[in-house]
Amino acid sequence: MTTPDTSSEAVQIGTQTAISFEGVRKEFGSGVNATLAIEMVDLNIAEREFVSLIGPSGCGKSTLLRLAADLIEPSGGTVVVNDKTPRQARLDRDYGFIFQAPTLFDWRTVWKNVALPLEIMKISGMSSQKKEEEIERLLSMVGLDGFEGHHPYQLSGGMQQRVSLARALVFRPSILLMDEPFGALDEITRDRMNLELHRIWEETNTTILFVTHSIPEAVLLSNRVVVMTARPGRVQEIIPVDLPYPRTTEVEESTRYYELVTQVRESLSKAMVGDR
Amino acid sequence: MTTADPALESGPEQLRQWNRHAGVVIPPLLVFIAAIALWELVIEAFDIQRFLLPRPSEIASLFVEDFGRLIRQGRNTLGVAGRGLLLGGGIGIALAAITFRTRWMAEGVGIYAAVLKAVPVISLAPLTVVWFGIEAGSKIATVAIATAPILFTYTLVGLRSADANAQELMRSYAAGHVRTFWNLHVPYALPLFFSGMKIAVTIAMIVAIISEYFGGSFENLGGYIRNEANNVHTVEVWTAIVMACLLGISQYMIVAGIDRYVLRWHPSKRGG
Repeated sequence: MTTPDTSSEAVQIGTQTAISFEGVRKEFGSGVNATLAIEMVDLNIAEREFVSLIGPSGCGKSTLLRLAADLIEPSGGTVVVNDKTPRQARLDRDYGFIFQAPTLFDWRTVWKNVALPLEIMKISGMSSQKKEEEIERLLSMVGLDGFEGHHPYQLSGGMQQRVSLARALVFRPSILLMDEPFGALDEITRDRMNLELHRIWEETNTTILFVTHSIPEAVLLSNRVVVMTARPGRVQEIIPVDLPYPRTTEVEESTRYYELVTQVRESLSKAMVGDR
Repeated sequence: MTTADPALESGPEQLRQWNRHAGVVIPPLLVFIAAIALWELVIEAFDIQRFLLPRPSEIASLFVEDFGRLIRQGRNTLGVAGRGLLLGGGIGIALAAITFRTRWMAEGVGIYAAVLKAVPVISLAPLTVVWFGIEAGSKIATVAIATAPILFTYTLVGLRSADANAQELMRSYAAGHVRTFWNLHVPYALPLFFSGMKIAVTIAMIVAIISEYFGGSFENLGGYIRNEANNVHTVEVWTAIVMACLLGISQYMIVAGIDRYVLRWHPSKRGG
């Protein structure tokens, strides 16, 4: 496992592999109607890393994420999550999955939505008082103090997605799998959410695999950006991001940031040309 | 204190709400009064005989006079309709809950539900009499046969309507079938379940009265209608019809009220 270079001492990337894909292939459907979504994907994500997957529509970014989550199974190759099969990792509740849609339960309040994983998992060794403190802490971390008793429909899209983020963090999974989580938000909200997510990542020991359509977002957030080709999806290039931490608006205005954005953009356009 | 008076604060809003309710209630009320007036007028103008069409005022006064008996008979009919609905609904809901995950099972049961909905169930009444006797048993069975397919279909579609991402979310939590059922599928099924219930309570009442009409005790609305109709006591028949209507409407409104309360979080119920 090669560890990417980071110019910061504040964020320590682990040496253990959190997620690995080896020669992974995924076909949807069968026979003549089969479509090859991804093939020959090799990718290692170290513990504590923040890796973005970027590529044209239909390049299988989400497919990779869903394979790691054991929501679908590979047609070939192996996926390993925390040294286990994805299925075992799912049963062990090793990861939290965040969808593009907030996917909140309309009939539950904000508080009860965040409490859902704890109710289902019946986590032992956590008193109900401790659970309540944890929910409270997370809601205030995502800036939703005072909205505990609201129902999802009373919140804006950005607030709903913050609830879903708190819900994914509440059972403290070691991995977050995020499928274009802020894709449906306006740009200002999105920027704020990105910085918030980055702060959470810096404060916790979470590994994040993040699917996005946005080049600036990918560069700003990640240690490494994985550029994928169009259908069938393959890894075109892996670009290490050597920006300092914490990633603030100042970093966003640095020359190095613009160079990296350009590098990713060029790689991405090569990936699109290769498709034709 | 004076400025923060909540009654004053909510005054205009309440007025608006009242206006909205009035807009819903007053037009049908006017139509009703006009229809009753027209009815009286037609009888007067064409000199229609009493046994063909009695005057509304006559029906009303006999209704008041016989109210005690009509309520007693209504209660018996309601009991049959209610027990039949409980039985039929229970079977329909249970079958939906068992089969909704497995396409071939749901379709296998679904075909028979569709057939039962197409069959005029009341034609089965003579059979249920043979099986369960002339009294309440056979009538409850007929109501059950009529309502089971309705609640099966509505509940099934409702249970299946759960959001795909939400199902994957539950899967990612490694939630078992039972937890996923109660936490996700049941809330998603509720709106359609209530739609089915609104239809089923009405059907249950209709089927109960008709099967009572076919035979058995006179101490219920259907039996009473049969007896009075045989003696050409048209006014008495009409009072029973009015009681049946009132019971049917109030049942429907109770279900609709529960629906509104339970699903106050649902997009179709809030706002407006």
